Amino acid sequence: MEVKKKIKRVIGLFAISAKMDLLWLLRDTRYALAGIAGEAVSNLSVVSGVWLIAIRFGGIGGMSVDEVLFMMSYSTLVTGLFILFGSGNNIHISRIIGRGQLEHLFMQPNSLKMQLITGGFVPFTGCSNFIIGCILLIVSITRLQLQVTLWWMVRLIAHLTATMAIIIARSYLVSTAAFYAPVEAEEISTAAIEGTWQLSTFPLSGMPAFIQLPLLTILPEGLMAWFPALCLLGKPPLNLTEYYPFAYALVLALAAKYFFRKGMNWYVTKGSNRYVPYGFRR
Amino acid sequence: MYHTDFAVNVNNVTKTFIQWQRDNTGKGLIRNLIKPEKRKITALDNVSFTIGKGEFVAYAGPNGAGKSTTMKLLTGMLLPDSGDISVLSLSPQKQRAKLMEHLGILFGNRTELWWDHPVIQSFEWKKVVWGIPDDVYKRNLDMLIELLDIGKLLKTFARELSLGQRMRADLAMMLLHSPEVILRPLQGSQHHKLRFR
Repeated sequence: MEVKKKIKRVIGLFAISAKMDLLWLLRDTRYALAGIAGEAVSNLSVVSGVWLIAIRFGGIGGMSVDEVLFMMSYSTLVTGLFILFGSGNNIHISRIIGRGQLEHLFMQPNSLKMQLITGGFVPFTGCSNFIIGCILLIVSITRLQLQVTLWWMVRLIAHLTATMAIIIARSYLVSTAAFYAPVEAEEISTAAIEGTWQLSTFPLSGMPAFIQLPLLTILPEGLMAWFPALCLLGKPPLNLTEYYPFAYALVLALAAKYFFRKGMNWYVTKGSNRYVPYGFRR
Repeated sequence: MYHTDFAVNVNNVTKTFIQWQRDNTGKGLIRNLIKPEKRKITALDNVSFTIGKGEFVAYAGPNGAGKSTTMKLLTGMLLPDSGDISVLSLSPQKQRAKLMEHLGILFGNRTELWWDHPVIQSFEWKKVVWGIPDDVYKRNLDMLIELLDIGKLLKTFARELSLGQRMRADLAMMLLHSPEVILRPLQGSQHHKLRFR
């Protein structure tokens, strides 16, 4: 019964986030549509830049043009999911912590976890990259003549989930700094995620191992699109198992959970004397 | 063990903070680099009080006396160093989400309204997030429109409201779920109001 109530509440929270997003879009539709179009063009330009290089040179580092396109579609899908579910600073959590805005969340009669899962859902203003990603995926699958089975779809969803878990865990891990230094670390998750985001759209095939390995361990940009795309194409690189991203996501998520909980304890023990009113409600 | 007769039960609560100190002399700046000076502030020192249901209490004291700290402790935003707190027989530390179904709090320096939406949309948002039944929501909304004279503000975007209008809208939003305990800290003043029913 309790679980049923929780599920109902989560669905309700997703629905109200979606409604707020739609009403925000309709507030000034011209500017909203211009923003959405701008974001889509920006993302397409990133994707097409790499793809055009691949066409010019007949592939990159052993990956064919269509394989590069497939990797780009995966990368666009990840960006799309990030925007679709993380537009309320719920992934860029250092902003909420650093601005002392966790208190807004404490006032609500729902667990923090539930609020953070549902609070950034923007299916209307944030869907463009996801849709483009889906289109690119279909085009690349067709060109590659991939056999799309149910098992392959499950693997795709699992890899996307692992990639999102890595992004979120990395953000929450570095964002713990905002508990201790709210002013200095307010934007640390932006720096951690978006500072190296561009790297994730480049095929690392053909690069020497001393470049590939750090990008699969210290900075997991290789796990954002390159590694999972090759796994889905049946060519896991560097003789690593296809399950490597899942193991990485698990370890990172556990570390993030441990340190974030410690930071949260610090926050409710020491308090935050830094409240910034902007940015909490759009 | 908490007493159910009381709306609020604060028992031997102590809360301390550490404040950074620095003077602006050259020596002070260098010392800050090596060994920053810190001062221990005891915001609440073994404080105990109870407030019964239906009581209306003004919580007053000089600046820095620990009024805001008390409010944050009562809402689970802060944890005490020692002592016990219960509000409506619930522990703010361990049952915060449950407590928030019955508690209303409004800090003067912040708003719960959605900035780029009409006031009524923030109210609709609260209805869903708090799970307020339709009849309760409608009854309270009608009452608050009349009491706080906010009928003309409902379609206005929160961003466009004057400070006084925003405060009235925020107050209405705080009351929408029929809170049993209301905490109303007044910004920068030397008293806070608590209302219990």
